[in-house]
Amino acid sequence: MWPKRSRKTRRPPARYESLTHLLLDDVEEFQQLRENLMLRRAAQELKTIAVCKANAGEGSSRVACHLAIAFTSDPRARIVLVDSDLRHPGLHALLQVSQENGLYETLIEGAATTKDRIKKTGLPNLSIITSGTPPDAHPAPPLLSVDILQILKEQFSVVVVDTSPVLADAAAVGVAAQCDGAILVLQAEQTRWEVAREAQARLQRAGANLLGVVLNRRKYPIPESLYKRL
Amino acid sequence: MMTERETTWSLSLRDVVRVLCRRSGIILSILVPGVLIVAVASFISLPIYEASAKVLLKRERLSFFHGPNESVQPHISQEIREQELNSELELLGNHSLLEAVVLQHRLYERPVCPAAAAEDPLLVRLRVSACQQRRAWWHWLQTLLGDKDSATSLRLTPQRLEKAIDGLKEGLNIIPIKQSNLILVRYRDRDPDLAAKVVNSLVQYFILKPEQGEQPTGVYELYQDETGTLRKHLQQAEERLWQFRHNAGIIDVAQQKALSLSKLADFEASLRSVEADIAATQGQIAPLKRQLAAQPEEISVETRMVQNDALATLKTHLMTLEVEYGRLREKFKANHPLRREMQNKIRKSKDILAQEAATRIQEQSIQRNPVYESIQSALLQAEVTLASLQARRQVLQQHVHDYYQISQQFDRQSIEIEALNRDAQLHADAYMAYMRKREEARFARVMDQRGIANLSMAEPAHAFSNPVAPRRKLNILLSLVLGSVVGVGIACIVDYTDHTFKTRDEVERHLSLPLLTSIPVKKEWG
Repeated sequence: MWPKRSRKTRRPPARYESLTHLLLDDVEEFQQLRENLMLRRAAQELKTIAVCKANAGEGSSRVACHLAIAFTSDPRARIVLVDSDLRHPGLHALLQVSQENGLYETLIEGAATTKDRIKKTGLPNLSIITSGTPPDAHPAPPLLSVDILQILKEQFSVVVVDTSPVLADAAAVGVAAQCDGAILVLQAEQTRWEVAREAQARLQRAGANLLGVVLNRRKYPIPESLYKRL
Repeated sequence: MMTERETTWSLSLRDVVRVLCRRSGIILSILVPGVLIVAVASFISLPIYEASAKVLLKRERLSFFHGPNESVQPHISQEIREQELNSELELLGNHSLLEAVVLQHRLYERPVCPAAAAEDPLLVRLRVSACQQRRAWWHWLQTLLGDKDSATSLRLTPQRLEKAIDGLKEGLNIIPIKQSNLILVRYRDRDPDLAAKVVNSLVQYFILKPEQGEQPTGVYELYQDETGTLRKHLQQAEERLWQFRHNAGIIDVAQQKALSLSKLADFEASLRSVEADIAATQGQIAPLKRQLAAQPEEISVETRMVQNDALATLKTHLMTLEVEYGRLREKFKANHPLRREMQNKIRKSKDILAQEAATRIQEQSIQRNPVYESIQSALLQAEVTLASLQARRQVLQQHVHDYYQISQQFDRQSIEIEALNRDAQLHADAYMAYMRKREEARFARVMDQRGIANLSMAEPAHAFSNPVAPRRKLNILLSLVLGSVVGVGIACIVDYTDHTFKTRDEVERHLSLPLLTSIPVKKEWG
């Protein structure tokens, strides 16, 4: 409603007081997301899901986190969250895990060291690979090789990757393309149509399997009492 | 795998309400301050009062004057034409009138803002201070713009006067009342009493102003002089006319001429008849003469023995004498001389009687021929008549000739008199015209003195206690309506041009991707 926040000032990452709050937050929506994803997938397995965003600050970390949590409702499933947004990682804060020793180190040292980076979270069947600590002035990191994903796929049932912004980072589309499915997270009243279209185009050009869109931070302006009457 | 489906989107009530609710901030941020500002401004601005007066236009004064010899009465319409009403209306805004009013009420001295005493209620003081503040800003703005406006002194300068007159004109509203002869004069001011006074004095000045067409002073005198000169000329012309008539012995040339002509006609008629008679008489004379010649002069009518008439007389006389003798016999003796005389007389008478009886008169009347006589007498008569007729004719001819001369003379004289008459008439007309004008001028002056005018105050202005402006309720209502309209309009525009994702429809329309889920915003950090 008010002048849009520029891309430079992004929202600070969500903070939960405890994991319980995290777990209880928006459970229905993410369940619905999971259902829809399951419905949407084609014949093939949906093991790796990339949570993409057009620009930073759209809350894709949270979406990825909660999506993973939604998958953990199935006790047999083992979920791993990968934070591939090396510039602005947010998963570690959400799950209250340390950031270091994550993906960046894996990329530098090779895919074989992936297993070392897997961290446990408070949830039993949810693991996380944080972003690691890239130096500040680092250029674009080397592409996430497909090996890392292969290794993870063997170990876990679902891999949820939180990618870096598609428009900002050229590597993100590569990541999304390597995954089985990708979802695009848009922030309501922030992400512009043209921007989203561009992101979609890039993803499709890269060959990613865009399954759908998640509209984050959506506002429902009509009060419920009035909505019921309309 | 998604099926392509055509999204035909149409506006639903939900969409409208959604937009309004979403942009309620914009709407309210336009509406509420707007209404507040308007409300505050309405309450803070000084109340303005209006006083109005009605002026009635009617025909008290005639604008023309008629002398006694006018044959055609011009049509004085009782209806006031719209032109007159409008012209009066225009004249009400006359500069000199306004100036008079301004000077009378010293409007040039009046400050724009009223003064507030300390014991006035807060609202009044607030208003006054607001007014003063406004004035200060306006002044500041004007000095900023380089408009040198020294309005500090209260002396009467021409600029101040002009400004005051302009101000008066602005606050004045003069309109005709439809379908009536009234003019409505309204004036607005923050002081109701002053407004009423201004209107009343304006109308008073207007009513007493000189009538249009009324000549300024000095015209009456001009007409006076002109009429004097013309009167002299007229008198001279009439004098000439009279002289002429006197010299010619004419009283009324037309009648005289007519009379002489009729006389002439009569005489001519008589002459004609006389001549006819002469002819007739002459016609008579000729046969008479012939007949006279044919008749003998004397004829014997008859011979007859006529008893002497003297006998009877003698007998009577004898009788008388005898009677007398008888008397005398008784009285006197036989030898009385009287008796003897009487006897003599008787004897004579008897002798005469016997003598007369003896003579039997034989008369033979020889008369003149009566026919001859009559013819002769007729002839004589005819000749006499002829002579008289001829004499008469002569006289008549003379008369005719005379009257003809007289008529001709009259004719000539009438032409000259005509010319003189015209001259006099011209002078008379001019004189009359100027007399009329002079009368009009005098009449107008009298009416001015008496204050009779074509206008009168139908309803004087009085001070109303209810201010006519600002119209608070209307202002607030209007600001409400306008604010909401503008707010909604801007909200719609903002929403329409907002190219971000807000609903499922938009996602599907623009990206052709299904919306998997919507995460509602969290209020704590949303």
